[in-house]
Amino acid sequence: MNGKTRKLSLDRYIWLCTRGLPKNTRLDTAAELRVHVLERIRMLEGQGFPRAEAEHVAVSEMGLPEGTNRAFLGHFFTYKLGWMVLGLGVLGAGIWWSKDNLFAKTAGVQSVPLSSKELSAVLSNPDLREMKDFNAFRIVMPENAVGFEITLYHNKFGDFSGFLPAPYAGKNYPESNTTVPSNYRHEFTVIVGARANTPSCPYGLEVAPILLSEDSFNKGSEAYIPGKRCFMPSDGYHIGSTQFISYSSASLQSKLELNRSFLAWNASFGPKMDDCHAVGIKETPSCSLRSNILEESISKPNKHWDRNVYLSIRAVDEKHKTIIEQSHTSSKLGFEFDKTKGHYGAFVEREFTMSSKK
Amino acid sequence: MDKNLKQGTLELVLLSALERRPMYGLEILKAVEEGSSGLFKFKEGSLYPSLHKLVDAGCIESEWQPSSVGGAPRKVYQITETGLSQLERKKLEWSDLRSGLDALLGLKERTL
Repeated sequence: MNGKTRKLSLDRYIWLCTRGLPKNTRLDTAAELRVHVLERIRMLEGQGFPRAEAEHVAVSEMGLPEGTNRAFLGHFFTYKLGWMVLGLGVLGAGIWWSKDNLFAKTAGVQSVPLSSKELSAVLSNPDLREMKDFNAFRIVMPENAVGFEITLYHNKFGDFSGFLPAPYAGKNYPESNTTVPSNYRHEFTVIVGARANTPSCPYGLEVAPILLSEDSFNKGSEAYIPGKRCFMPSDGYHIGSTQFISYSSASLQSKLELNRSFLAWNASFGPKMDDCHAVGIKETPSCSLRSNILEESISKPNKHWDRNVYLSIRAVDEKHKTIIEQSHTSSKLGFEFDKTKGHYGAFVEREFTMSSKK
Repeated sequence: MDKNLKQGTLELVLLSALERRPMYGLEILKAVEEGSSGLFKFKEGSLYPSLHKLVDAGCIESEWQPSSVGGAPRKVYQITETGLSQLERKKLEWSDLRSGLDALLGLKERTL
């Protein structure tokens, strides 16, 4: 006997030796082992061993049951070690698979703090330096989204909307030939900057949405600037989109010195109709001209004042159908009457309230 | 004797023991131990998996038989034609191996 022997009853030894075998083989093998050990016990008893000691010695001389069981099975998967290895293997494979296939980030839009890196990226652009108040939104694209649309609107009229396709959703990243895992969701940060009463937008509120994108498949921080939008209070009039200061993709690329091709922002423009007065807005060439309209309108009875600027972010599918939409209402970003000056002025506060629908 | 070397020759040893006559497990152990002057002494439990492999290979066959001395029946193993052919082939292999090793180790000259 060696140090590895342990106290095992005959029944326990036979069970350990034969477990995992097909039933007929198990019974046949168990009977054979039992006959062997019983004969050895009888021999030992004949030599004067008490029954208990004889059984212990006879079983010990059989050797370790795990090794015998492994030899009977003819493979590695004995209960103790083999199944443990198999289980660990399956678990490891499952973890490896789930890494790329499960636990995708939940699609949606979240209001997030603006990081210093993002802030410096925004402020490095000369066109945005004058903007003061920024709100950041983190967008996680839904799985089947091909892009998302940002709309800035004034009193629920879509004065500005831009569509940006999700560049790598469900596809291989074109520049690195990297296969995008199925649980990958493209993420963007949209930052909305605003400032009241700027020289280019007197009496108004200038708002600029800025897009930053940085994740594992889209390295680096890039700013896509669809332009600034001047919102102004009016009496029944909603300011048309011609004030929107847009950049062509080429000029923007040049401005930001982007080496990579980037996705042009497709803004849609058009005069809007006013529900209250059903008056079509004529195209106006500049913000200052509209401020004249504003001055004129101030003297008129106030029938309808725009007080809020809305930001809506929609993820859309291939048919441009909305998958998920989140609206952010700037209840503290708008206009109020300045009694001392006798006219309406814009004001900006940082907080947006959020609502969402799917 | 080295465990691996013993394991490698176990099939030859068992077939050789059963060549003489049909035997049951404990008998085989005793025959091998006595026939090898105590050189082949292994854990009794390891005998049966080896015997089962030889049965699966068709080299031996087994049958439950009543004990000649009374008591429980015993499973008796008997070599088959396939087993005999296998044994002859293994004997030749062993002979060749031994000759080669003896020559390599310089044992042949010493024994001459």
